Amino acid sequence: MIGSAVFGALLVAGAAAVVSAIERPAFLKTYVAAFLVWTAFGFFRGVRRWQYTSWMLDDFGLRIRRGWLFKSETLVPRARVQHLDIDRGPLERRYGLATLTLYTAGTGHSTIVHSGLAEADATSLRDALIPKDVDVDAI
Amino acid sequence: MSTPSDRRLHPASPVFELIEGLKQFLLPLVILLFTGRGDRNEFISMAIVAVIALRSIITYFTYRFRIDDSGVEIRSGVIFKSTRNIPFDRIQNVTLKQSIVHRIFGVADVQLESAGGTKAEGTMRVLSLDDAHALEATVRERSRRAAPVAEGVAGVAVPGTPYPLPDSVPPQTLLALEIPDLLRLGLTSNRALVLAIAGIGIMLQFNSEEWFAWLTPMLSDAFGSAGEISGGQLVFAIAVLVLIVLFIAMLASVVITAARYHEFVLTDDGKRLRVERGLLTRLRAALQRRRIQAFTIDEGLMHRFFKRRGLRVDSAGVARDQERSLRDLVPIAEPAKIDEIVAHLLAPRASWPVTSWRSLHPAAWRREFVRPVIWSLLLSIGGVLWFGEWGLAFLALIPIGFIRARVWARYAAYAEENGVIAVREGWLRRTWRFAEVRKLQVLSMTETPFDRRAGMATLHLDTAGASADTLALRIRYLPRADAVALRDKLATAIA
Repeated sequence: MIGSAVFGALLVAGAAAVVSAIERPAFLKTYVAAFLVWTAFGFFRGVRRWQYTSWMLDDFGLRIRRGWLFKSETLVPRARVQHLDIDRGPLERRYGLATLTLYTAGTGHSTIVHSGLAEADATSLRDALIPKDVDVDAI
Repeated sequence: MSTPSDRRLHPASPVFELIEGLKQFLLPLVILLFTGRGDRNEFISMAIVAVIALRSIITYFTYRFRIDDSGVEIRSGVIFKSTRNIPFDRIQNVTLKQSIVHRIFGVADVQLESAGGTKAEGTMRVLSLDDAHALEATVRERSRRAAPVAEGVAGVAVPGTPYPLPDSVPPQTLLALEIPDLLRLGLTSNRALVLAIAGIGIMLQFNSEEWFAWLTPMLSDAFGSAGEISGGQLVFAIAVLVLIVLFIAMLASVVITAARYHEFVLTDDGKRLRVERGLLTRLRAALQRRRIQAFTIDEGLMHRFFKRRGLRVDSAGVARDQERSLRDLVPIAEPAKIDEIVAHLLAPRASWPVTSWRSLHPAAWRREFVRPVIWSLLLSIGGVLWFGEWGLAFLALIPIGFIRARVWARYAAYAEENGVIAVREGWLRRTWRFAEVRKLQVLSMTETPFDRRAGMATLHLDTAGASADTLALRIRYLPRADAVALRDKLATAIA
């Protein structure tokens, strides 16, 4: 969420800096305005994404709900998790967040990224999802 | 193991990490060095090497792994920290790799492979040979304990398989293609169409005056007129030419197909399916039955005319070339024969054909109708702007779209029965796509705003081994309640 805002803002700022260095600096105000608008938009989007993303762990496995206009609910069965990654970038560590990625043997959903998870949640989810039942025959 | 302790790579690992990194940059480095003028390029290549070297040293100091009760945990990274957990029962194979350089240092690359994936899930570059062997032994022993069913990717059987399949069953021939079917296969494959389009494309390379110069005397002869040709005659001549090209293309397609599928034989020895075919190069490929993930039965217009269908299978954990040559498991056969083969492959845990087909949402046809309407409106607007009022002809696509949507929606259906989940769709060309429920990997349900307005949902059923050219196993325009019910039913069956 913060990531998308920061990224967008940096993108605009960077472009602005490059262009203004080459072109006339008179457009600086426009760039500043664009920077602010983009940051606000990124922030809005981030909040929205956070509001409309939820997860639930039940007997079947992990359910992830996403989306406001285009909704999706994905169910990763416990027995289908192949391995898991927890990634933490510098910003994520600063705010105690982590990204959990589940790998299944499937084609389309071999990676299910769940970013912006509290670190403790990510760890407990991982521990809960590490397979206990064996159904290797599915592959 | 009482207290799992962190372990590190072999001190020589930066060297191998560097070699691996250089391999990836080899081409750009060589280009830089040899096309370079003066010091600048040399400086750039030095910088690249330095960065790779630095990265490999950092990797050595940050890479940790440990073996705990459930599996292998690998941690790496300084700025972006990553932790990977690979459970024992998911590790299907442990590979040690040694090049000459590895042997000089007495070390090995260790790769942990799990199912489905094409690249190794965990790579340890490098461990001392003793450590590598110890790790291999531990992981093998533990994955065996965790998964008595486990069978190596390479097909190494592990004792204690709960479904013992005798090896010495005499091979049973499931299908042998005869000449008439080879001809039909040549005619049904779309290679004929592709060849024809290519042929017409080549013809269009010549400009129209050359065409006239070539056509005029021929047409004069044919129609008995002296040099003068009417527009009608020209259209006729062009139509004849196109037909000739089409005919030649079909002939070529039949010949190529007949050569490729000459003496096609599909056999089953109880464990593996084997395909042999080809006239000039004889192709042999084998596939373990349990590697099959999903099925597609295909029936185009030509198929329907000949009363034939084709069967394709998705497989996972199979070498690429084998997978490709076994994709068209049954290139062409009578529908009953295909059903029989599928039933044979699914037995004893599931059965085919399914009979309890359930139709989609009653308004599904409207959803399928919207897109052709939008397209034909756009096309006719564009057409009017370009050609004037003739552009309105594109509106004729709307009734065709209507018929298509109605036929499609009436035919489209899904079935969940006897351990199989199946979807059928189609208008002129029909497809059945199905898989065993226990082969499903991830279930997801999506709703677009249009879906929500109509109370529909789409169910995506992910399986392993599906490629980009096969349709995804998905059921569109389901009544929402049915989608939820089906999803939960499937989830229960998997869990």
